[in-house]
Amino acid sequence: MKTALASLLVILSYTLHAQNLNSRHKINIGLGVGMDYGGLGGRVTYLPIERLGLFACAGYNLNGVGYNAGAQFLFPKNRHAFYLTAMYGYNAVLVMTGDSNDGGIYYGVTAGVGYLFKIGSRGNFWNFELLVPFRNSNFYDDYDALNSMGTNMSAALPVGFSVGYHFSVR
Amino acid sequence: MKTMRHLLAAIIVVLIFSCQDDRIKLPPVMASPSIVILRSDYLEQYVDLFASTSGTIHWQVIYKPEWVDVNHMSGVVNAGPIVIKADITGLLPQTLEDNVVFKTTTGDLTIPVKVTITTSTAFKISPSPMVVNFDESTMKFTISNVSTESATWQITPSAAYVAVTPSYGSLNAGETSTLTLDVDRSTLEAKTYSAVLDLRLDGYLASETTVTINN
Repeated sequence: MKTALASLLVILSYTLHAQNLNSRHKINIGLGVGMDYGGLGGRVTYLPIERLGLFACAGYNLNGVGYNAGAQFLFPKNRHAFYLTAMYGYNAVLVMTGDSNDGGIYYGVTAGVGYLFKIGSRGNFWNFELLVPFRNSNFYDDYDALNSMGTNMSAALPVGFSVGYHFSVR
Repeated sequence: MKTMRHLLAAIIVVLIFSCQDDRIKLPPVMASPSIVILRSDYLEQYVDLFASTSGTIHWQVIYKPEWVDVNHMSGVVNAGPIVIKADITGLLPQTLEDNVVFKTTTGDLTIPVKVTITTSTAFKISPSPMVVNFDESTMKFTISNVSTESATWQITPSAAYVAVTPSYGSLNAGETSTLTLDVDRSTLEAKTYSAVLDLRLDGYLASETTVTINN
């Protein structure tokens, strides 16, 4: 799974770049909150072609460093765009306080939809996403165990949201 | 741009390959004692299941051998001891070892259990105890294998004036043999004597049968 995803992203980045040597490549750097920013952190997105973005993000996820890497497929219209996104990386965190100050970080695939709209003339933009994490069995085993132990927990939301502001680099 | 592209590709590869769940450390359930050692004259052991948490951790027995009984098959930890007991009914003298496995909210717990059977009910001698009256110098009795396995047996009297014929043999599961007990009264005084028949199964001392001789 990991190998296939990493290979796909890297191959995409190189092959699409090769096919679009004359196009204007774009990179943007965003700061925001959500799984696609590693929690509270930043994201670097590279667009080898106009409709495709490849990104990596890292941040603080309440229990340590959270990171994700993935791709976006955009449907641009003037100064805004909708897009589909998928990534692999952390998609759940458990933090336990009280008896034991411990936490867990769980990894898996997350997919979702996003919307961005540009501000000003430099190409900077606000970015919003609705994400669906496909959490793994380790997460649910540990979550159920904590619930069964009577630990006060908030429900694991089936979706996540993110918001960020991106600076267009070139 | 080229450097950036290489850098991003490298970051993607590193990030994805370094993803490995860092699972939360749930308080493990432990047992005291952590090993149960039983024997024929000590067939049950109280065991505490505990964990260092104020939360409720459930447990249930998911595996135990047939010769082990647990007084509760499920419960919660930190709620008093459970009893692990060996049921050696019909088992031949031997040493058995296995595990009782508990599935708990925070993981599995395995308690090794060992029982050494020295007193066995796998063979029955009837009548037991025996009484040889004044007017008898011989009597018949039976030996039965009530276990599910075949075994060799040997009976050894504790006194020279008592003899058993035959004194050894083998019985399959469910079989019975009739034996003869002979008493040589020629050297005995006029009083009551007591002797013991040691029964060995597959070489292990399994039981002792008292024989009272009125002379």
